Amino acid sequence: MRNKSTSQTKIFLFVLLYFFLWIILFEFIIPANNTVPKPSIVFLSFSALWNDYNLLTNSLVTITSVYIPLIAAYFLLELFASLLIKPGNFLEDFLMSLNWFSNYIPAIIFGIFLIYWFPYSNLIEFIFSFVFGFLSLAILYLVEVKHVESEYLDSAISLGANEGIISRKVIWKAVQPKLFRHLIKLHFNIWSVLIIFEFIKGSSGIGEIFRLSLSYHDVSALFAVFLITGILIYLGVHIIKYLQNKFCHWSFN
Amino acid sequence: MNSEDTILEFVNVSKDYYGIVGAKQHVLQNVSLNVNFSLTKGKIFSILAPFGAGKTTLLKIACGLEKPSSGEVIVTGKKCEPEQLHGKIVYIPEKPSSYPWLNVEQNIKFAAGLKLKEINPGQIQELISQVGLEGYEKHYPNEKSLGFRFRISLARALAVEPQLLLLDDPLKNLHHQVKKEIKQLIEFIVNELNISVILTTTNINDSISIPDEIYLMKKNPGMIIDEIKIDKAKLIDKDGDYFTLIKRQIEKTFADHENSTLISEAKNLQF
Repeated sequence: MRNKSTSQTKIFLFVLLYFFLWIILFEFIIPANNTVPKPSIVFLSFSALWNDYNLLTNSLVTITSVYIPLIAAYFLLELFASLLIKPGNFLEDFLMSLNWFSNYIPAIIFGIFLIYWFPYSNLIEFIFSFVFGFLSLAILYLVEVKHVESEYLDSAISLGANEGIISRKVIWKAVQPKLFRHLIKLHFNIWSVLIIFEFIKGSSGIGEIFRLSLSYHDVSALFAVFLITGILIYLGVHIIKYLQNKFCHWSFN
Repeated sequence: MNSEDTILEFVNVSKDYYGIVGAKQHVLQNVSLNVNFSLTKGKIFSILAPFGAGKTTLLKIACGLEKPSSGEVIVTGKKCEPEQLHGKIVYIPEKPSSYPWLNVEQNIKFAAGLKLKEINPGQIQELISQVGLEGYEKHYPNEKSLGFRFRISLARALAVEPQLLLLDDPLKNLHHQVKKEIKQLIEFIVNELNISVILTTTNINDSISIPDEIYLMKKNPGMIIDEIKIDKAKLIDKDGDYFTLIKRQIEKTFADHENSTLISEAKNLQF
């Protein structure tokens, strides 16, 4: 635990070091250029991002497209978890067959495919995030259910618990920490896919700001939006970790 | 023996594990329990057997977690299907089984809730103090000792008011002092709460020091080979004559059945 927090502090210090190096090198030493902008210009471009690039709306579109479908996918899985693990149901085989595909075809391929399939749909980002999130969580759930400690299950059955109680109060709780850990990875994947998605499609979202700033050769805006995206993802990770700590506190050893 | 006094009977119970080897189905392990034992109420029974003899399988059949390949399990005079045994005969596994996401109190409430009757805070507190966890009501089992987790499992089992408790190697890997406390706790459950207990062990000393009766089980195939009644009044300490006598009797029985290997605290005996 202590080692983990020490390494996190070190990483944080390194990030701060890069940041200060950038300020010192590009603000005071290296003359202004078109490759790496001056920090003062990047900070000034925040107001341009707000006004010209519609930062607030675009950020909200991407944030809601990432988190609302993920939250919905998580709760839907919790609702149907007991159905998924019923012996002999076809859903397990169906989901595991999709898992086989995902080993060879990255999700981004499906994302790009969807852009050309539904070029005018505003909901396609939501649908993609939800489907991708749900399938990924459900597959992980099905895999992890097989690793739930048999003593937890034996005890529950022996005490007289029925299938529903075992599914909700034992299996779900035993798998929950792994779902949270997976949510962090999943949220990174969805962020990157959606930014690429918005970039190609040219619809609203942070990807659209990247596209516009590149088309205007506005390097400072590009840097600024890069920084903002990093901060948003960083905050997202911390919110998920906070929830993980709150609801799966026993899994932190 | 009156059938009303009998809590559990195994009538020619056997369990076979099958595996596919080549084109044929083979019996990989025959836990031929082949026992016709009857356990009376309010007593402690220990099953002493080497590793892999089928102790856990026997307990799992007794509580309905596994179906026997043949034979009958009779509880208080009635033939029971496995599902009917859940909640009546409670099994506590060898590995810690208390739920780490629930604290001590919540673990007990979980079990009490399965009985579909209200359990008041006073009853929960009573169970907690019975197992020696007073003051730890809000503590979570993760990162706690095996003894602590076993006490939670025990309190949880008591919350469903079972007729019989099955403890799978409960004294394994416990510190000497904790072992002593758990033994006293098991005796309390039997004497004060009138709940019968079956415990399994691979340790000769443990098998002698708590029970009223010892069942000796051999492996390949797993089978009860002898039954020894213990006179607790004569059982003073581990070095006493009576203890040594029982131990020798056990050693001789296993030696007669050769291939068993038992762990002894006194010395590693190989039979």
